Amino acid sequence: MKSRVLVVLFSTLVLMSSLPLFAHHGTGISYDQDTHITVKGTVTEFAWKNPHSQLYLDYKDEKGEIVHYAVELNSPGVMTRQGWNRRIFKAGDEVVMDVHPSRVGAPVGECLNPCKVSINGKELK
Amino acid sequence: MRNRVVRSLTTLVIAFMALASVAFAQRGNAAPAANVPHDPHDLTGVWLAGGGGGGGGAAAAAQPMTQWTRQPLPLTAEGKKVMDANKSGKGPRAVVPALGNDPLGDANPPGLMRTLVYGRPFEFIHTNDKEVMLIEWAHFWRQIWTDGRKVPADPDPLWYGHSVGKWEGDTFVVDTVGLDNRAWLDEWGTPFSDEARFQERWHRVNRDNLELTLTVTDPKYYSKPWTSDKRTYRLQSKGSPDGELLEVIFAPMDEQEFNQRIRNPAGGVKK
Repeated sequence: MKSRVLVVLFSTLVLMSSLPLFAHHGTGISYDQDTHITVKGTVTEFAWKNPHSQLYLDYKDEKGEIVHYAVELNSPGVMTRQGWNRRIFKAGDEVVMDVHPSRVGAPVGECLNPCKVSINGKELK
Repeated sequence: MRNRVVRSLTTLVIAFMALASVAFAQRGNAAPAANVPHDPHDLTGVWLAGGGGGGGGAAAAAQPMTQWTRQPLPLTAEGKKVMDANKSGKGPRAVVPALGNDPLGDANPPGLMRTLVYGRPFEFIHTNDKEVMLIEWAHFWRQIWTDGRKVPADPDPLWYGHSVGKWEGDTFVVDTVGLDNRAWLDEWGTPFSDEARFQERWHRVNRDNLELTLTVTDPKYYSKPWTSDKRTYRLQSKGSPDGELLEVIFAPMDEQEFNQRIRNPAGGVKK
């Protein structure tokens, strides 16, 4: 019973935290909005572009093969309001971020505000 | 131990709900400011959408067809055909964007009415012969002429239309014709025809809160005129996050790159 309560509470929290994320450019349906996964990788490219900024990361999977992972970010306007700018990520940065994963298992995720991000061990506010 | 965890999580959820409600109120939900002096005929300022009015009454649909109203839309057969053909990535009929036909997917302009239901700020600027709306989303502007002119009888289509406005008491009444109907009325693909006429009724209920209702008259796609639920907008103070408009532009070359590298693979579509 208690574990069921825990699951319900946790699910509610996750669902509520994901609600604002649908307010984007119609791509939300492509991602599992009920799930967060943590992606750790090295930045290869950061595109500060309207209306969808993009972050590209490389990491090694369990077989030691390099995965090229792409992250959909918010528009520069929204991120500017959050205090981000075009220099916030640079190639070579070690990034850890929580994303909503692609529903079809593609190496693509969505990180719209608010989402948890740390760069070189420092968490972004 | 478990009880403590349950209590902690419960507290966390309650705290989250409280914070979320405050955040939403700050971002646009109506809150009374009736005692603060204001000129009801001056709409100047930056405004942010706070959502629909939640109206609808007994006939309200459990699942609305449009973001504008919870009432069922009186679609004609032709209107229904177009509505069914419009494939959005949002709303009750959503499809993966790469398989849809949302005009925004190729970085086309959102158009006027869709802009008014989207949650980005706009600014009213008053002049002696027109009200100007600066619209952050897609970086557009719109003129509402108040110099007594009439809307054109046979308008050429414009993405942001031909608009004239006048005051009826404390309500700013805006008539618009000639909207390019390749745009949608909302994010969900609600259509309008080349014969559609629109009337916005803006009412500043107090200093900080603005209300809008929209009436759509479009006999080609709707068997009778229909009126939206009340939508609310909240004044954004200078220095607040949404208090100044920023540049949000849809650049086709950036959109194409985004579609190819992120949007399409995220939805399982290779093209």
